[in-house]
Amino acid sequence: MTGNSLLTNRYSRNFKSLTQTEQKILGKSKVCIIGLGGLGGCVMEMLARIGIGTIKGMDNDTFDSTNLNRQLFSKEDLLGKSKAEAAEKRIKSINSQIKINCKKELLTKENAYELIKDSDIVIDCLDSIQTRFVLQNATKKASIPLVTGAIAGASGQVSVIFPSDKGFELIYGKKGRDNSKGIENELGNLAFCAFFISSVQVSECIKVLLKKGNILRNKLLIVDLFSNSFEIIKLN
Amino acid sequence: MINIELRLFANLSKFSPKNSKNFPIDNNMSVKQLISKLGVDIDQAKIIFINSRKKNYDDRLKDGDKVGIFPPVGG
Repeated sequence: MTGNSLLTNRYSRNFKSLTQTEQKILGKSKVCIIGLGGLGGCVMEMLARIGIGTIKGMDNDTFDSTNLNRQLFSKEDLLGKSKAEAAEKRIKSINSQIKINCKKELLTKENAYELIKDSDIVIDCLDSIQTRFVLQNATKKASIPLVTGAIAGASGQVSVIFPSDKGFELIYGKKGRDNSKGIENELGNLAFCAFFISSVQVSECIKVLLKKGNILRNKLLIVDLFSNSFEIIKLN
Repeated sequence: MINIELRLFANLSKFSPKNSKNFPIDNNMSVKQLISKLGVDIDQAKIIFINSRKKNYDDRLKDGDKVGIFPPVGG
């Protein structure tokens, strides 16, 4: 395929589910993904393929063999390598027309705001409840919407938190900030659940950017794929 | 006595009674009392929803309520 036809055809299968105008909006959009593991890798891949113009990602971790069961960017020859570096390399090979910037860095109270402040939307692909509250504080300060997803075993959840929303307090409780632990250590994490929940996160992200469809704002989608239970709960 | 419909998610499904679709409880039972009756650790019953709306431990149950219990998920 020539360079020109790549430009012309790359997004042709996005239409007419998306309009040309919407595609342009996505091309001008900046999305920040926090965490590049099971959820974050899938989220980043889908955002790159759909045509988000600027994608930023961060993860301080390196791949180990326990990641191979579900993390899209993990490969046997990348064990021990940085998740951020692997993500950037893969995304560049998928879509050279977008800007990609992945940092090998840990999200902290000190750096969170600076890392996310230039984005239009942030996607939470973290694996720690406490760190989610840190991220939410930063997105509130920066007035940026946040799409959160979490998984454990064959179960998961997704919600969209706007700056004025209570957000994680409604999901994890006031005490969640300090001492909540998820059940993922007990149940592990399955590939089909990570891919499912990350798909819903991307769908929510695109809808927020394009201001279309129903958004899971002040709502929580909870999913149990073993029992095929899907429930949208009103949080307030 | 009243009857409720129960759904326990993820690792809590093992606490689901056989008659979960028509589970008898005392009148005016609270969510917290229900969790205790089921033998579920209160810290594992992170999100309670009744008829698709998030509820608190002190809320009372009514006949026909559809009750869901979801554990904390952080991964």
